[in-house]
Amino acid sequence: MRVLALGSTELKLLWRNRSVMVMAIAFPLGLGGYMAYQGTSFGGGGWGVVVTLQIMLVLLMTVYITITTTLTARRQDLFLKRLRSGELTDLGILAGTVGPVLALGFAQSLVLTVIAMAAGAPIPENPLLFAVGVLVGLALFAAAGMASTVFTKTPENAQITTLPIFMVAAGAAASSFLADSQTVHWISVALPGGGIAELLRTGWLGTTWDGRAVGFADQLVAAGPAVGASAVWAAVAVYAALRWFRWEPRA
Amino acid sequence: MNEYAIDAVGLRCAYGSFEAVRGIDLQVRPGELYALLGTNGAGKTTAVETLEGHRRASGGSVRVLGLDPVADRARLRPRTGIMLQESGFAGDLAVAETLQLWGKITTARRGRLDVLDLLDLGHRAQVAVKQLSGGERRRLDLALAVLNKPEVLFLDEPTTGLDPESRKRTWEVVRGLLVEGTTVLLTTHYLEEAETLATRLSIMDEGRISVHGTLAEVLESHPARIAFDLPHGVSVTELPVLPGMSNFVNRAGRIELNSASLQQDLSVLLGWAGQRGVDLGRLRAHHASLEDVFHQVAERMGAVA
Repeated sequence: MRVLALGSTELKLLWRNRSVMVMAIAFPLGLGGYMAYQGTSFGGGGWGVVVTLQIMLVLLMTVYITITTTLTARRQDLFLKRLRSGELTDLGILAGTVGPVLALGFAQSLVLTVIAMAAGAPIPENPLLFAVGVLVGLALFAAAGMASTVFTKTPENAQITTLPIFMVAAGAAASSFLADSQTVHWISVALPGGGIAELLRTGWLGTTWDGRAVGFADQLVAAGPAVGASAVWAAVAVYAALRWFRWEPRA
Repeated sequence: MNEYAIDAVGLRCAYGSFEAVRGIDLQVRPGELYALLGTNGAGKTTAVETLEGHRRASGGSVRVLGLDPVADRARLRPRTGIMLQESGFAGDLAVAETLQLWGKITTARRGRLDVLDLLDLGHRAQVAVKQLSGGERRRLDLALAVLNKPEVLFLDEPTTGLDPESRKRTWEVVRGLLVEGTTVLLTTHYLEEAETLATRLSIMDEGRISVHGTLAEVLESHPARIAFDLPHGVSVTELPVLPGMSNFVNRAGRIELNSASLQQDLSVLLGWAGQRGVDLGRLRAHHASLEDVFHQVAERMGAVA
């Protein structure tokens, strides 16, 4: 109940924050929408790439960067410390702050996939796998967003401190389906973000990374390493966030 | 059941190798207001934040309402109110929205105060917090701390930067809670504030408590002061010897001294002046004020440093 009260307040604050509006809502929707509009030029298999990039855009821009920026801003304003002076538990404060961003990311993912399908994308071959990709992705990048606050001093600073993970994840996602050798592909899948992209693409197209169409059961088996690697990264990020999270700015 | 609402014994708090609080005892009885005074950097805020459970003690024991502020935080928070040294708000929320949020995340075990009126923020209810003045922010912060009529209230410099009117209003709110049995731990720079509100007080310097007791006890333990201008044509050696006199100084004709028995010393001095027919210019005699005690502590610290 208390967490919901904080969550609805945070949602209000996100709505009033112009840079969140642009970077977390307008930009991913605009760019994602444009990719869907261009989707037919990729051919049948290209839709897997389009949808994967759309979701990755949301996970990185709407979820990852927004969470780091928001938590750092609340910490700098001593809002987090003030909340810790009240009855909310630490987990409650984190859930109430991070939850609304996750809801926003989930809604954006939904809207973008609907746009892609309206633009001509086929229905996903393996919706279960695709949904797992979205959900694990939300968890991984929410945790990464919290973990990044450990080395982020100010909300302005977040633009720089989020860059390394942003680049690695974007690069891993791209090379997970562009890779021309098995080794490069598996390295991409093992990196944070690469496994998520693998799940999303496999789920949507129902093919393995080298383009072989396989049955439902084999799709799940083929996705095993990607789920495993992503779950490990999510666990590492959650551990780092809970272990080193700071509630007040450094003096 | 613990006799004290707040009970810290041998409390120590360290940041790395720097020890900000070096073994203090702080025992606050239920229903009293205890003031913690001290210069900047004396360790007051660190001590209070440890009692609140914001940081762990590095030594000694801490109990608030018989509970451990860190381990039992969840059980303690519904019974306490906290106003930190610096307010923490989301600037884009309006005053009313901030209060609504806190209304929802705070248990009203003993009812609620109508804080908007009480702290004169009614006319600012729809204003974004980032547009409030410093004084209004402090009042809003106090509003959040007292919303649920807490059993124990921590106030860390609640009136710093407030105009006299707001300061009085803050005192009224605090007095109102004291009447209802709230225990208050207050840190302040304003000696007048401690003199007006406190049942007992202590003065901290360099992480230790150097003076503590009721206001009367603290003042009694410090000598009264007498000061006057040396009359024309009178040499210092001609002045009478006062029985309770100490720390006699002559600052270019201005005589200042401590008096262990003000009335007796003063009558000897005045009797002498009457006999000699001399005028003691700008004569001043007063019992120790909290300010005197405070300055003595600060000076002693300066002498050591």
